[in-house]
Amino acid sequence: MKIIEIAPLINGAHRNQTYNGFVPDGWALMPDDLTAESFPFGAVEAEEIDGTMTVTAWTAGTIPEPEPQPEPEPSMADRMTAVEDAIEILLSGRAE
Amino acid sequence: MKDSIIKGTGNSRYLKSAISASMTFDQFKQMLIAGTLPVDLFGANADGWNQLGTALNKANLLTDATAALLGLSGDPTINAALAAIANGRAKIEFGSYVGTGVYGSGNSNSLTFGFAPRMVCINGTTAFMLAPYIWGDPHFATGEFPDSLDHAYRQIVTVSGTTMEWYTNGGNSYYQLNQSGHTYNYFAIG
Repeated sequence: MKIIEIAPLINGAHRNQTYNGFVPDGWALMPDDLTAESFPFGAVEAEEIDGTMTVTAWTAGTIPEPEPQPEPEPSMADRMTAVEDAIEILLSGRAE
Repeated sequence: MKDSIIKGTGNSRYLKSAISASMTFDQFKQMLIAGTLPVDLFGANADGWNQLGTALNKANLLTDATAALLGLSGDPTINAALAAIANGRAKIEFGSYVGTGVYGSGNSNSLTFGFAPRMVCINGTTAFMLAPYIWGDPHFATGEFPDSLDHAYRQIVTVSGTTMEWYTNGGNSYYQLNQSGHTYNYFAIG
């Protein structure tokens, strides 16, 4: 099971984590059998059940466009090859 | 410790009573039935045992020296000692969260544990990305190690009680370990 923060973030998502037996104030237990499309983007309804705030309804929200991934950096081997190539070009020029 | 093994020969223990020597058998019987017959269990008779067990006394159960090692004083019970052991041992917790896509100050991530975290490790979205946090350090670092140290960012970390919060000082949600829809695994030691 998970717990989620009842209040949404600015983009409509809800902070969440694995349930460890402790539900902080402002958070609610999310039952395993509750289908949560678009998680963690959605609207939450929660009420206290047996003394524990529990999510009773989930309305799927809109998932924002994925953010651009950081540009992959060249590997160390690629960098070494580039340096070797540059040296070779330089040396070739000097030899002429 | 050893168990006691009784012979069953009817002579394993001594009794001693403060009853009057002039007490009649009827008086003795009445006091016995009424639960008013005074006796001491006056020790074990070794002849009545195949093996005498380890005594259940302070020396064998919880000495003052052992209690002091657990930080206990006075006359602590075994239960109090067990509680001290349970409270003092290292705790570990595993879990996961799904990234929400936000980042930066005011958009922190949070994890709440069942104890005050002393060390937390969160794995990122690449094989190289692992963010360790050690108790007392206000930062942990993330980046695509080992090739992109120039793209490493610090996470500003605060721990309050059993809750840890963090946000990245640069980059985007990737570096805050909070990419939208990505599942992050963590473990915490406390």
